[in-house]
Order: sequence, then structure tokens, then C-alpha cells
Amino acid sequence: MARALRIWLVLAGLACLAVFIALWAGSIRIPPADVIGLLFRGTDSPASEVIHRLRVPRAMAAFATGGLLALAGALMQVLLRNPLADPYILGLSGGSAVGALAAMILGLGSMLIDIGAFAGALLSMLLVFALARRDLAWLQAAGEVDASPRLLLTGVVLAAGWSAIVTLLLTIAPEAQLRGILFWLMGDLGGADGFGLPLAALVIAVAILYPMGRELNVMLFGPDVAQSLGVPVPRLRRIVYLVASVSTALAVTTAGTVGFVGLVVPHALRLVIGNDQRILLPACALAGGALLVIADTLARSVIAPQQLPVGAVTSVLGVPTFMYLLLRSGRR
Amino acid sequence: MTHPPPSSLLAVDAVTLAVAGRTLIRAVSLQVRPGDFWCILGANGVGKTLFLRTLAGLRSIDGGSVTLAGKVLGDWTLQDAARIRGLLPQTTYHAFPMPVIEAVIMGRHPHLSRWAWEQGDDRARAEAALRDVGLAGMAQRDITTLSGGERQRVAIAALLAQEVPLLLLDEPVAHLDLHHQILVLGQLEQLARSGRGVMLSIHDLNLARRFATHALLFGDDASVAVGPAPDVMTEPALSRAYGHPVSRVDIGSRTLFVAD
Repeated sequence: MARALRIWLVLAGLACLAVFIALWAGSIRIPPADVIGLLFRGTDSPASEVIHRLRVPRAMAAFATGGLLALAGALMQVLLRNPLADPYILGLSGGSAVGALAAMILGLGSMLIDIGAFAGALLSMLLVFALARRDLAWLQAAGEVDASPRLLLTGVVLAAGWSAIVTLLLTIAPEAQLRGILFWLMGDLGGADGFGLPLAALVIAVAILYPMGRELNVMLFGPDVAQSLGVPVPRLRRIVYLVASVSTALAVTTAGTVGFVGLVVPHALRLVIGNDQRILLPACALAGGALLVIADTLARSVIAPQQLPVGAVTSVLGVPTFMYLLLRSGRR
Repeated sequence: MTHPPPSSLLAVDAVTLAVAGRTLIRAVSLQVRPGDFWCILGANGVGKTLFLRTLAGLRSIDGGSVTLAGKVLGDWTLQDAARIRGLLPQTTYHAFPMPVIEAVIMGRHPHLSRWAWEQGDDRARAEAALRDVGLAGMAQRDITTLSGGERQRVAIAALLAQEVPLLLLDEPVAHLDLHHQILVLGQLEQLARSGRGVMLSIHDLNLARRFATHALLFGDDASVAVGPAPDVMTEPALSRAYGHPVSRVDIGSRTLFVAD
């Protein structure tokens, strides 16, 4: 327990540092000393405006999105007992991309695009759930043959289907909208307004999951072992799947399809702090948030005043990190 | 444990099991009492695993009833049942690296409340269980680097750490070398002698004959023979059940079965 607190404190410190850098860095330079002062006591100055109207909402949206994605990734990995599982692999982001693109092409407003993205993710979730319902809900079917590969395959096939629809929509989309759509597909926090909902969802998700931490640990040993050790496997699976799906849907609605966070953050944390879900899940929320805040700060600073989509930055950070961690763990 | 020691840990009454409309097991009745060491015998696919999973409460019954420590199996809460019976599945698959000791401490789960963290006491029990299966020095090893037989022993250690009066094991010694087969079965025999009940499936007739007090022999026509091991494990019964002639050889006090 003391170890858990130490780990969370360190990560919370890193997250604060990341947010501070995000508030400080940018095309309008604000002295570091002023950043904190302006943050807590706003003035009429342009610097204060930039911090409160632009940088704080964007950093908070990035934090919430990153935390939700890392959490969803960690949950999917427990659910499927596969370290390579990720909300994207299960087709959730594909579904929300289709929902959002359809709304964009129909010329609907940003509010309806968000709703389209959310509906797409939920639809995708329901499809996987319906197709693999026996595996999620029913121990009897799952116990004899491990159902995880089937669930994973269901998700992968759905993701392929969504991607085909995205291609179709891109082909028929008016040329003027292509750039916005592409940014959205690669993940972009530039348009993120409102961070209250995703941030609240992140806190609630961690609060729901924390008491189930040890049960999730036992789930790693398979449904039979878990159930015979007293874990209500079907119920736990449904809760985990629901929390992961809603988290992903909110993350995608906030920032588009940002990749790799759900894969890299839990993986890296496991190598450093181990695989106890009671410690890992809150740590994922903090570290995923911090990572995306930094990635977004890079995305808007590297070739400023031009902006990169944050999804491109997470991929550039994610792929080498993943490789490095994989090689390091092999050598140990 | 607040429950008084029951006369029978497990009472199986006329249990019938069917898969996809095909009856695999018809009307088995037996009682597992403290001190019993049951071996489940039978050819591949006759329903040994199915039977063990059913007794563990992981599967519904197609007829008859199972009573665990005096109460119908389905009436137990999951956690309370997990304090009374433990199950070792045939295979355990580890997707994530973790120290061996963590995989054993997992067995303490039913004894801890929702908010409790494993204490030094749980760790000590887990370490003792690792010693019992001959893995004393391996506590900090990464479980994904172990061999199949070693992983099997880790899973057995987790079951021992669960400290349940009734142990159900699905082919616990299938992947073990000769020495560790005897070590593990010897540990289970000791547990039985100290008042617990053990039931396991096994393909080695000689090990079964050596350790079992009782035997359950499934035939391929849904028939079952139940009783004290020497009564059930006879040449004609075994030959019929396995569809292959089996001869009995007595060497001193030891009884061996040889496939012709």
C-alpha cells in the first residue's frame, strides 16, 4: 500500500510537471514564474487569456484523453489476457471514426459530430458484445476453451470493416473537408472544447475499478481459476468491458483517434511497477494523461505556428518506446 | 473456518452430465470424506474434466445434485465456496510476466476482504506452498520463463496456498517428471491424511493405485464404477474402460498395471 502511494505520488508529480510545461510552452512565451501566478490569479493581460482560454482547456483535455485511453487499454489487456489488446484493436475507435465522419460529410455541426463519434463507439461496442456475448456473459462457454482469442478476432474483423467504411467515406467526401477529416482520423486536440466530462469520467472510472483490483489480478489466471477463487467472472467481465468502452468513446469524442497510448502506457508501467491492477490502473490514468499532455505540447510546438496532429506524435513516440521496452525486457 | 467439520466434504448424488445432447456421465453417486484420496480414471473424452468442473461449481448439472460441506453447491456464495474447495484446471496459461510468488499468493484471494492487501502472513503461506512443490528457490523468478512442469507446480502451490478442505485437481501430474509426480502426490496424500479431501484425475494407473484410497472409473458408455481403489481397479474393469487389455502384476506389496 505504501508502495502504491509512492508510485502514484511520483506519477502525479510528473503529470503536474507535464501540465506546467504545456501551460508554459507555445508561440506566446510566458515566463515560467508568471505561469503559476496567472493560473491561480487571472488578469486582463493577453498572457492570462492564453493560459485560461487556450492552454488550460487543451492540457486538461489532453490529460483526460490520455488517461482514459491508457485505462481502457489496460482493461482490455486484462479482459483478453493479452498484452497486445487495445481499444483500437477491438474496433471501438473505428466505429467512432465512422460515426464522426458520417456526421462531418453530412455537414452537421461540431456538436453532432461529437455525438456521431460517441454513437459510433457505442455501436461498435454493442456489436462486439453481441457477437461475442456468450464469451463475455457466460462462463460455461468460456471455461472449456479460452474465449479471449475469439473476442480479439471479433474485434479485429469489426475494425477491418470500419476501416473499409472509412475509406469509402473518404472517397465520397467533398475535397474541402478532407483535411479536417484526416486530422480527426489521426487524432487532434486543437478542436477540443470542454474537458469536464472526460476528466470526470476518468476519475469515476478509476473509482469504480479500484475496489475490483485484486479480482482483476486473479482474472489474469483465466476464467476457471478466477471463478473457483470466488471472482464473479461474467459480471466482472461485463463491468470491465463497459468501463473500457465508455472510456474509449469519450476519449475519441474529445480528441479523435489517438493511437498507441492504450498500448504503450500500460506496457511500460508493467515493466517498471509490475502487474498489480490495484496499483497499475490509477497509475495508467496518471501516466497516460501526462504522456498525452507532453505529446500534444510537442505537436503544437515542433513546427509552430503549424500544428501536427497529436496522433502522429504519439505514434512517433510510441513505436520506438515500445520496441525499446520490448528489447529491454527480453534482455533482463 | 467457522464451519464445523462435516461428515462429508462433498456429496454427489445421481449426477448426470450431458454435452450437446450426449450423456457423458450417468447417475454418479459418491461421497468425499476427510481423509479420502480419490482418483478419477478413464479414457480421453469420457468427461473427467467436465466432472471436476461441475463439482467445482463452474458448470450446471444436467440431473442429480451436489452438496458441498452440507449445503447444496449452488447455494454457496462464490467467496464462501472458494474457502472450502479449490480447483486446479488442466492447463494454466500466463500471458503476463510476474514473479512466481505473486502467482502463488493469488491463492489467498478468497481469504482476504475486498479492501485488504496481502500481508506477510499470506506471503509466508505462499512460500511454504512453494517449498511443498519443490520450488523453494524460485519465488522471484519470472513465471513466463519456467518450463511447463514448473508452471504446473506453481499452479499446484497456489491451490495449496488457498488452504481449502477439498482439493479438486485436473491431471495435476501430467507434465511432471517422475520425482515431482511422487513429491506432489505425496504432499496431497499428507493433506488427505491430515483430514482434507483430495480428488484428482490421472492417467498413470500405477500412481493412482499407489496413492488412491478411492477410485472413480468412467467407461465410454456413460457407465461408472465407484468405490475403494482396489475394488474398482481390476483387470477386467480397466481393460474395458480403456479399450485395451491391462494385466495386473504384483511385486511384493506393490500392485502394478501393465498394458499388454
